[in-house]
Amino acid sequence: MKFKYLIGAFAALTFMSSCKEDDNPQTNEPTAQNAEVILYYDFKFGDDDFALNQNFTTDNGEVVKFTLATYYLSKPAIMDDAGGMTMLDPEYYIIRPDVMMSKMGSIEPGHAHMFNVSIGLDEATNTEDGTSGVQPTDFSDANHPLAPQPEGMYWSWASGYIFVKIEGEVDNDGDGTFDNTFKYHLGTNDFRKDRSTMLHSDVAAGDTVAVTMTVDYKEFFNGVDLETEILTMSMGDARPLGVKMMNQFDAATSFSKGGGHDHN
Amino acid sequence: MITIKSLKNSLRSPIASLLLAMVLLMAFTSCREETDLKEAGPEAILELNIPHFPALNLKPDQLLTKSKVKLGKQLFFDPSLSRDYSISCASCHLPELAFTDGLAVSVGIEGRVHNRNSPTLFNVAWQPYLFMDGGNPTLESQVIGPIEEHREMDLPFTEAVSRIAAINEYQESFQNAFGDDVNPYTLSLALATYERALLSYDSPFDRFRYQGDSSALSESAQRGLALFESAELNCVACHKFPLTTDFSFQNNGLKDIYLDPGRARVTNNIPEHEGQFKVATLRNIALSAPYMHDGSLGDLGDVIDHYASGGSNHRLKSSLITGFEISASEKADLIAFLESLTDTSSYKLYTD
Repeated sequence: MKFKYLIGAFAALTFMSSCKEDDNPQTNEPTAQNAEVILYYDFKFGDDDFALNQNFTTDNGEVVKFTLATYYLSKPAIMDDAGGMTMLDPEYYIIRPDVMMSKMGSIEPGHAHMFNVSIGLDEATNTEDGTSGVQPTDFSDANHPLAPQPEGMYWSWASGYIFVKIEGEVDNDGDGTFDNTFKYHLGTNDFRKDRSTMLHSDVAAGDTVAVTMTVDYKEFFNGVDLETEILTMSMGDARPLGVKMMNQFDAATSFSKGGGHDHN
Repeated sequence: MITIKSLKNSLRSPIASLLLAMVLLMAFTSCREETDLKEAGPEAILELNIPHFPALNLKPDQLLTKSKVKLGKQLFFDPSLSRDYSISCASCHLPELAFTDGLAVSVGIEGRVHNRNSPTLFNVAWQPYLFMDGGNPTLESQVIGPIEEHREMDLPFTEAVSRIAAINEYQESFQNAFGDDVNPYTLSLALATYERALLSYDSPFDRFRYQGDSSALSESAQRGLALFESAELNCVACHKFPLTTDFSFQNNGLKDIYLDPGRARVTNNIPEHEGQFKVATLRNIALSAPYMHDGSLGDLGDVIDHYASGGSNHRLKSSLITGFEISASEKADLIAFLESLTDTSSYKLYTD
């Protein structure tokens, strides 16, 4: 599958809506007649704002510094009170600590009952058996979230995307010197986390439906032994640690209604 | 559009009266093949229709043209695709060694040692999945692997795209070949297209088996072929003709303990996949020593000895590996047959 679209300010939107047309002629581009959906991000380490390359102290007194904290979100949707689902565009998002919000298209006025999104990618996209799905080299637009990424979000030797990639260093004994590196490359279809957030909002034309995703990286390390539980590529003997760390990431993540300049 | 019949040596065949008309036709198309390929314009489609090979279903963008193959070849030999500009794809896939490197395991930038033997790229167009563990579905996405792998070229693919895009000559070549800029899609497609042109289909064995040239194989090689297909050795159970592989994953009993889990690496340790590796093609096998996933067997005699011994007692060893008796002369015959699978000329029609 080849995706082609113009390079420029409207590239991503043009691409997504053109692809969507094949499956669903309905568009959900923001207009004065509908309501925009925005997901805001709040990254923190306990009570502190989170950032890469900054020292933080865990509950165990270990000093950690993150050098990577990137993850995928996919297939956001709004469910109405009758169970009808509006799939939002774009479908895929790559999130780094400097991302403040993602505009996720819009919905028609009515009742927004629930917001759904997945951490990771859907099975049809994230091929692992080599017969379907997509690969980064399917994309001519280097800016597409599923195109090759600078931090390498695809296991080319195992044919699948890395859903969450977190790397950094840890000073275990508090002597001011980093003792170990930690690398958590989390993925494969079983790792996807489907999350739902209750909205219960009546939405009028011109409103903004706002949701905030909070990731507390202090919680990510809660209960993790940073002497030994520091490396997993989610496969082989390190798969159990991969499963654990994906659950840690899920637990460190929360979604709440509202955020930004929401007026709901 | 050009039709490749791959019968360039058919005129050497003894002309049996019943086949005279066919042979003449083959000779005609054979002569036309080389002429057409050489005269083909840069955008003419170079079809991979090898009569005795399975048909390929390439997507429109994957069809070979001279300009795409030429561009892919240039990239294949370009060390710009490694972090320190020290190695290219061709460093581990040398044409003169059947696109392998002669080492037990490959060596990347800064002397970093890989854990696997470099596989031949001949007839890679027919591979349904890539890598010895089948961990990648397409030639295009496979391209990311060695470029980004720490022990190989260690360059983020995004940077590879940026490096190539910064070279004006390449920009022009990509526009000519694809009508598009350098981007992840076209960069991977260019390399994959060159690799698809690495064909080997006109060996003495091919001429003997598929073109009726009974003189193409020595008597020794013919005896070796008979052994290869015999019920006792049963090499053809996995090394099926014409591609000499069925692409299945087998634990061939090479090890008692597999440090490299093979197929299990990509199937998340499904126990029965431990030690399974994709059955390798035997095309140009005489040029691609050493052998096995870790290059632990030095020559073809060692390989035959391994299978004759029945291999290890690994609990997951394939039931096909049972061992057999073979004399010294039979072993020589079998090697003569394996050597008859050599054809390192045909691909040059597409790539020179």
